[in-house]
Amino acid sequence: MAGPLDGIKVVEFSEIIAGPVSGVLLSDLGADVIKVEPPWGDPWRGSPTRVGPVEAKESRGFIAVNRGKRSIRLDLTKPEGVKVVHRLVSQADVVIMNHRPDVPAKLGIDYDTLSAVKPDLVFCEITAFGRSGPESAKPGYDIIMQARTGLMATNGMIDEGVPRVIRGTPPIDFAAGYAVCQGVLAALFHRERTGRGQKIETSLLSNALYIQTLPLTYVPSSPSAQSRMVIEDLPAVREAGLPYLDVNALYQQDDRSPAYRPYYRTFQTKDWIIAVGCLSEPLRKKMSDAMGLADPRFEPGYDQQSEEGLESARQIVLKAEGMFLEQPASYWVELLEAAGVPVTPLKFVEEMVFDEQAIANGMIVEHEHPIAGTVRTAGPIFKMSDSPTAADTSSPMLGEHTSDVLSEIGYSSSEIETLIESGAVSGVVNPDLSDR
Amino acid sequence: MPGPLEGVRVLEFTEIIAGPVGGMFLADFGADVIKIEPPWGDPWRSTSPGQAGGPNESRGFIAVNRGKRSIRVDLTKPGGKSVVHKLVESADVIVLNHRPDVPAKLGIDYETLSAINPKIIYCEVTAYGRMGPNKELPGYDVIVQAMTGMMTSEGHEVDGLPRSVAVSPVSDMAAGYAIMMSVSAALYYRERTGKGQKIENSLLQNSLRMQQSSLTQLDDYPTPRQVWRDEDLPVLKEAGVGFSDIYAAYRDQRNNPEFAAYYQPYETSDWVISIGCLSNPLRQKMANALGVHDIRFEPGYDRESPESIKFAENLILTYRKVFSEKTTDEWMDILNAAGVPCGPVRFVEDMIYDEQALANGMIVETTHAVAGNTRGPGPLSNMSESPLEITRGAPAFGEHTDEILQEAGYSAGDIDALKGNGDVF
Repeated sequence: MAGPLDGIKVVEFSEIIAGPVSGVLLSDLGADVIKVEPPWGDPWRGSPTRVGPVEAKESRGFIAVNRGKRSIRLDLTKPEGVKVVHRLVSQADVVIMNHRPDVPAKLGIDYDTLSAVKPDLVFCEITAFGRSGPESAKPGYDIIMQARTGLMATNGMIDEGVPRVIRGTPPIDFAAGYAVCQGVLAALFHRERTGRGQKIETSLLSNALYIQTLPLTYVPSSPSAQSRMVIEDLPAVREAGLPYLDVNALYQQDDRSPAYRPYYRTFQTKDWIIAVGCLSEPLRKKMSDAMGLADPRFEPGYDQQSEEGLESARQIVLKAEGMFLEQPASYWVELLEAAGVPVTPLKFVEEMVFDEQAIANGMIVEHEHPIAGTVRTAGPIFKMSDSPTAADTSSPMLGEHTSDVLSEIGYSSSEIETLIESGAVSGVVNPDLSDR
Repeated sequence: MPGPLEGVRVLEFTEIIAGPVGGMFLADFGADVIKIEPPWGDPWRSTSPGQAGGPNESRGFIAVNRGKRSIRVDLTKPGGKSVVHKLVESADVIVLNHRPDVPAKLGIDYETLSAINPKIIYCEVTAYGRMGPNKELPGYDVIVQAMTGMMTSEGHEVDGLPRSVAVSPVSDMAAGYAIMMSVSAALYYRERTGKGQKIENSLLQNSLRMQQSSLTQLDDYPTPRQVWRDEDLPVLKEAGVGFSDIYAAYRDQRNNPEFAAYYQPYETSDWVISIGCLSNPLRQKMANALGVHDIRFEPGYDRESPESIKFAENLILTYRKVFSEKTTDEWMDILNAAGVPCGPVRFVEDMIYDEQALANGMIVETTHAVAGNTRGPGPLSNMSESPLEITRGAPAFGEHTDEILQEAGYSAGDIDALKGNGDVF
């Protein structure tokens, strides 16, 4: 069985993380994803942790977010290069783009030009700040949006006097990559029903806001303490010129929902860290009962927000911390699992490529890359019973599929040779590496 | 013009965050999303902080259930079950995030529902997937962050404990995106083939996927931390070394900082500014704008020499000094003019009134029957042919029970009888 996007051809003009992530998702769904790279390649090929010889332009960072694609290397500043792209798009279904807003038109790959070549094209672009507004022309990356939208400040960790970037994942880049895939799929469904293509615009900014819907959503009739502080006090505080650290202290001092504290957090046990995650009253009660915490707040009518309620929350936290220290992690995991309480020992991400649970569900896939050798990485994000998702190949070498793609769209071998000689397109840097 | 999922009907059996976010996306794209709640409601109505106007209307619930309609049904009663089965007849999509054993008990498993409606698209979210040793266990974002290493990658330690990504439940959010994506893919497939199917999503897989860059392992080119995992971690664990020491050792295993100076926040004379240069042309622009000479951009310079690493470390200190000399606004002007990606640090609460976000329709206002006016994130994308419009707020508890039953063909007398039985509320 083939994936749901079997037969769909995607042309990807993207670099670094957000755009490439979306191409991988579409490839997992069975689309044929052709990555159009400039002669020097996606700059992320030069990300830290280079692999193989410098001129091969391979890095772990690039390989991680480009699996399952084919690469064609092409110079869009040459008229012949633009012609090739237009022919490629005329036989494609989808174009994804993450350039700065002024770049596509300069390169002849903007929506107006490409939809003239292919009228029912689905064209999706990612900008940093959206196409309108005072900052629409600015460049932006995950870290800028983390700072710009409050993600960094809410996380609240300070290093050397400045807030620390979230680095377990670039969350906004990934969200934007996911959003591209959503928009493209919805547009393909729409095209199937109406015959019409369209232009989709998503942005790092819109995704940064969406993933913060919990703290962002503002209900004026019942604002959060932080909303009140930012809306009522912050202007005066800024006017007074308080430095960031002092403002951050004001912002963080609010005690959010003490009722949660023992039930949704990490604990030190005798030998290791565990996390418990109880977000509903029945689960919290299970945990309290299983450990013998005797939390009085589950009694009907108990006022958790009263002084007494807050004080007993503090006491329960201390009690739980003390109890967890007395036994090893394995003891607590077994006890709490038996009681139906969500619990886990803490792991490092490097352990996950060999994790039994992940492997049992096909969540870790293994590939052979001609330069990098064996690659283990994350598989498709969902399974589909009738049109299965799959992640069968690693990332392409720069220009690895130039000739294949050109001959598929109707160029003869001699035409391809001419194009290569003119520098409009090029193959892999070292032809010895192209056997695959 | 309607959204791309106009006319698609979704029944959502979900609670807390991941499943509801998936349903909210589907509503954003134009689907009619009916949230089927138990008599006591989605627990997130009451346990999320910030009650807004009533005991069953928390801010957290409102934030992840915009655009849906709500019906209260008791699935443990035959009458309640028959109502749901009747709704399934005219539905296109089912979204569920229960523990793996629950749907069959409630008569809402794939086998049962696809027998009623063979073209149904059935999308479930579990914590850990349908296979493997953890398949029966419950799980939430904080658990998945801990078990997949997301927490330790953050590198924070507070009172001896690793700190999670607290600001956004990242695996929940990613799973919500994945629900929308997988349902759209299945709708497209159904349009071409006429066939429905079952989709499985999990928090675990999404947490791994969000960490694709640090997770990916090249066996022949391991990272320092991957080597440490194989060579040192087993020894340390065997010796019974505690978490704090192991975590310190883990954090010491770092790559060459190389260009870290070009991708981090700096304190200015009055606030904090963040810089994000991931390519060499951008880095050179930044060095030039700050009047600093980065020798590593000289042709032929060996960036892996010890001298180069020392230079990278010192460069961060140099940049700290330079940034401290001007205000954030002054730096914004200088860096914007030079084309260097930069932004001031702000609070998320600022964003509700942010000019840039508002100019792009990224903040929308809706009305909630109990909580009143609500502002939240707008749709993720603009679509030229099938625009996304947010018109409906989150449903009040059981707000649409009568309306939905009437649409499904129940008479006023039928509805009264169902209510009298306690099948619906």
